[in-house]
This record gives sequence, C-alpha cells and structure tokens, in this order.
Amino acid sequence: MQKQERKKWEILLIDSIASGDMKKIAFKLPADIIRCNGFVFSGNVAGSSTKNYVLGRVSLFINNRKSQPLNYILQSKPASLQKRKYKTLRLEECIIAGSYVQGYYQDLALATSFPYKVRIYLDCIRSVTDNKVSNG
Amino acid sequence: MRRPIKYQIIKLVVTAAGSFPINAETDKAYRKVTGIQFNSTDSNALKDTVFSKFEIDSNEIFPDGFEVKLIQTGLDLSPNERFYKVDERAEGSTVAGSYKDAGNASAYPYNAYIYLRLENRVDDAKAGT
Repeated sequence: MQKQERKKWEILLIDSIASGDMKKIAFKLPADIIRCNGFVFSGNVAGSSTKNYVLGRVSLFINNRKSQPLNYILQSKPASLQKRKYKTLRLEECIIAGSYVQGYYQDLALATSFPYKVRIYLDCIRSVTDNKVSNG
Repeated sequence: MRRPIKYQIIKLVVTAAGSFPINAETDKAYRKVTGIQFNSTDSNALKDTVFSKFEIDSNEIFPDGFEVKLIQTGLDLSPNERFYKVDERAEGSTVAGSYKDAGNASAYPYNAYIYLRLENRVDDAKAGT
C-alpha cells in the first residue's frame, strides 16, 4: 500500500441569497485534504446583461486569516453565452491542511432572479492510501 | 491496429426531475480514461442539475453537489478542448454515479450525454510492460 495524491473538489454552498444580502463564509478543510490550489465560482442564476453579468462580490481569507488572496467580483452568464471551460482561479499561495477558509459574499442586487445560490469550488489535493494512479 | 482514442458515450434519458443512475463499464481494450464531457438536448435543464456522485474505477471524480454545467462547454471550443481532464484506469472499470435533475428543463424527456475519452497512450503501454 502506498500513499497517493488525488484531486478532490470541496464545495461551499451559499444558499438563499436575497437582494443586498451579505453571507458569511466559514469552512474548515477536512482532515484528508493536503492542500488546495484554487477556486472556481458558479452562480445558479445569471447577472444582469447590462451590468456585465455581475452577481456579487466574494472576499476570502485563507490559512486561518493569515492571507487574503481574494476580493473578487463574481460574474454569471446564461448557459447559452458560456463559451469556454470553467477554469480554476489558481492561488499563488496554497491553502494548507486543516486551516479555515473564511470571508463573506455580498450580493450586489444585479441578479436576474432572487433568491439564488452561489457555489465556491475548492480545487484540492487529498491523500489516499491505495495502489492506484493519481487522477488529473 | 486499434485506434489510439475512442469516445464512449453514456446516454441518459431524463424523464422528470429527480435522480438518474449512471452505470457503465469502460471499454476493455483501452487503458485509460483521459477526459469527460457533458452535453444535453436541453440547455435550460442544467440550472441546479448536479452529480450526486461520479466515480470511475471507484475513485471519486465529482463529489455530491457538483454542478453538471461545469463540464459543459460552448461550441466555440474545438472538440478536443471540450474535455475535463482525468487520468483513470479504463480496461473495463466501472463508471458509477447519479445525475440529479432539478426540474428546470424546457420539456421532458430530454437526453443527457456523458462522453468519455478513452486512450491507449504509448507511455501507458510502456509503463504496463
């Protein structure tokens, strides 16, 4: 038996977002996660087309509030306008094992409908004990 | 000689909102699954549609609650660029999971297609010998 590293998505769901809401984010990385390399953001409704599809603003602290790498305007396009792949927003500093991801999400009252959901996907690496190869 | 790449299609017929199991076996003649892509006949259906889980060879690829739309792309990308990259054993391994429709499709039933890219790469062949 040997230790392998595998990709693992952790999902932070921010639910029931009403116009102008401010939602707190507090998430502790599970014990089997070694590190996280970045984020993907997704909203389940589109932002207003006249406002460049902006939905809200997300501000995150990582590694137990030691770094604030992200103060990000979240945009969400209708599926018909989504041309490219969703890609991970890479962090220069990894999120370390067992640490907290904290911050807030602020709605900017530009969504096409309310309430809505935002998902923050953490692109992580976890340790597994098996003899299989690691995935991409 | 066998072609080095094969695209295997898993088709789901989604008849209503709810969970639909994904059960398939990869082609035994190919060593690796190197990509996954999704497409459907109803783009509205993807709002809040998630995988309850998605595993290849008992390895988690997508966790519960992972939005299916994240592995769909527009037609502007070339077909080779549309795949979500993975590196999993094929050779008859199982593909298991669940597709959870949220009830937002324009009409039911609609078809959902999961494309697997299977490969026999030269490097894999060397590693196996």
